[in-house]
Amino acid sequence: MSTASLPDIVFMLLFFFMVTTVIQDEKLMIEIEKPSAIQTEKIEQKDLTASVIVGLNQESRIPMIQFEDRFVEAEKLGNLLSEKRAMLPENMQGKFITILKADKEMPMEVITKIKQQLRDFQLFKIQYAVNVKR
Amino acid sequence: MKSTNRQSPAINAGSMADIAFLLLVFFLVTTTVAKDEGLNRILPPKSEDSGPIPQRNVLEILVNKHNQLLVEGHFTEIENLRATALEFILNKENEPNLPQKKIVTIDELGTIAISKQVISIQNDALTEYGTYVAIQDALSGAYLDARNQLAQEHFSKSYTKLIEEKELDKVKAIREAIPQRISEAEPNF
Repeated sequence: MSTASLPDIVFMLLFFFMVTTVIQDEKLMIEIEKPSAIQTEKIEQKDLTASVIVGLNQESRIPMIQFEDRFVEAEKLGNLLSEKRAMLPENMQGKFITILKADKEMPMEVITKIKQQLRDFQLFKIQYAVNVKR
Repeated sequence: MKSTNRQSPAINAGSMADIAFLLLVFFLVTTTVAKDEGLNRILPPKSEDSGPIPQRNVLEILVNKHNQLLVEGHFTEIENLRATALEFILNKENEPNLPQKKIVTIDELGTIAISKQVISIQNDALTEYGTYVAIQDALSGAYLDARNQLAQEHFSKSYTKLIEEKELDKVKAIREAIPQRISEAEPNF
């Protein structure tokens, strides 16, 4: 029996796994569905950003805020993000952007609380993460 | 003598590799790496008291907990907000109920009348975030349309085109003439 086609089958499998793997740099501990928008902008320097993830807990329907790989209180966010910003070189600290990844069904009171917190800590630059509508 | 072990016919597998490569190329071309995109905003500092602004200069957008919009006292669908905001920003006909104009001199543009527009959003505690983002998106769109129109009048080129061609002085002049002023009311909840 000819085995000439075996390497090809192996390659096909390899390709299959290559395309189905999703590279994810952060682990989402809550499921979120981002809102969609048209007028979007990209961020070129990802190292100048930090993400805050806001979504509802599936079972309890309580709003949860995830920062890095743990859940935090809205009141602690300012300190955590300031620490993150303080690690950047001085001349880059002004370019620090907080990326807010929130579920589209979140009530605004949660979002507003976070925004007030950011303002208190002079973290003025914010990006509302969205899916791009085409 | 007749041979008993029959030779199985060889299958030509030479094209297999081609098919595999074709598939590889197809997926390479069609897969897009998810990139972070979003709406960039700058939050206002904590102590900002700009004093009273004349009513006509403010486009007041109120959103209730059912995600309904009240723009200047009229129920408005979110799809129509972009057009309403564009009309407000430009105030082409110098209507008395739309923003006042101010005569300024800007490099590249010369002496022009610019509108003293401010757009204000006030939402309920239970307004959905999705609606808020949709409003922000519509307003961004309106500012883009207004800037495109102004650029077309002065440079016969759209604002988007100016950015693409990196004509930074002209881009800066357009931004100065139509600044993006979206204010958010302090939360009362």
